[in-house]
Amino acid sequence: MKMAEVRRMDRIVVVGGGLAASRSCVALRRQGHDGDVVLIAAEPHMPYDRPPLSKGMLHGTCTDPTLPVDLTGLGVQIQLGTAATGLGPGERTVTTISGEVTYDGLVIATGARPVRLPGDGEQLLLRTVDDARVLRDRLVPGARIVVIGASWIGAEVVTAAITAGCRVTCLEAGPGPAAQVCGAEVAERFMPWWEGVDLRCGTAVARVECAGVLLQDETLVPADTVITGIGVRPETGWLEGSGLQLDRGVVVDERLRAAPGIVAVGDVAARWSPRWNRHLRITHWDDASSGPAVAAASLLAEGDSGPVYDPVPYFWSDQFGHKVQYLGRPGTEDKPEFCEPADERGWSFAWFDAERRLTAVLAVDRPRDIAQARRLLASDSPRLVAT
Amino acid sequence: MRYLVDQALCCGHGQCAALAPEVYGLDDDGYNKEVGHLADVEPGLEEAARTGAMACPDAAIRLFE
Repeated sequence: MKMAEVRRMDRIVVVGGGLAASRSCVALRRQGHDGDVVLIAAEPHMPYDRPPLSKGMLHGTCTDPTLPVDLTGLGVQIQLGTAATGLGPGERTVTTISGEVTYDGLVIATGARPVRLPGDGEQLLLRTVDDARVLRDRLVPGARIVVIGASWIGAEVVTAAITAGCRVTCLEAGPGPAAQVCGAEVAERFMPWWEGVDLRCGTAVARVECAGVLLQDETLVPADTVITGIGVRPETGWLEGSGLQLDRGVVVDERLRAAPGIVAVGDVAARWSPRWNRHLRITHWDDASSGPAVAAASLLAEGDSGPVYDPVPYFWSDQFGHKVQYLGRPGTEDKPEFCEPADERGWSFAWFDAERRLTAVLAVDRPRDIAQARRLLASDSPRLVAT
Repeated sequence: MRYLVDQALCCGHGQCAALAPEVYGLDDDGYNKEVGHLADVEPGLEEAARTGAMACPDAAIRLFE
């Protein structure tokens, strides 16, 4: 990305330790920033990729998801195991557990943390590589694994658990797998994949105890290992009182700007989307992957012009031997329509708005439907007339 | 610059073409058109080629400068 004028900054601080933070460092160097880059990461690991945590790492096909980028070689000063605890935009200071760091430019990329249910029993979450290693070691034949949540993470964990020969129960509050994201009609199509799993829908959890999971009807579901995958919350606690606008994420514009000299990118951001006319809180890999180039450009640009970050949201999940892909974003009133292909390989749903414009596609084992949807969603006024 | 799309890794995300349509294209089945053989990047499009390669969740695209 070539900028006419690159603002000269002495030090840019990147708070975060995941893909968004790593890519931000790379983008800053690529775009000509030759001052300091300081990476402040809470975890004691070099930045790593997260999708393998619920996929390859649980199946044993991936043992190290560290991102293959030489940050030290790029001249990034790396502080691992250093959680940020506060921000003072007036003084341009980030406070960490190890002291204060001043900045000229700031990238906030602290991601999101999983929601934890109440209870004193052991409750595994799946956010860090350490979490994945612990969970992988529990997936042994015959182990009683209880997974709370039948959405994407839940489905992928269940897949690994049944492959490992565990006895798996999955507790889902909604009417079916991924129903909260995709709706009941789509969930119904996922259901056959779950045969062989004790899947209990419409089941609300009260708390996690030592012996297992206590349901709201006071039944106890015994478990050797409980894992919760019911959603994440943006990691913005450290920004309380900073003056930044926080609303289920750091609120940023379409160029990922939160305030002068401050950008936010990835899971932590609530970004304005001109395309969807609302703030989006995307917790998918793609935002962390391609957002940083725009975040860096916004920090380094002189003046008020620069690239906008407003991609069509994309997501995928590998579960039960199937590839699920999800492109776009349905409006709250849009209804999914089922598409059964003539060649009988896979199936899809398409969502349309009131003007019959395509707004989202969910494709199972059919990348061609995603490719077709991209062409329609990319055009200015896509119209797809249902036949 | 040239690129190689790994046949085993390309599973049809399509993000390469979404992020860098001037470099990458998809076939009718949704996979990268150039899977399995070295393809040239037009001079001047190197930055786009990098952007598209980095957009692949499975790192299926390798660049050769």
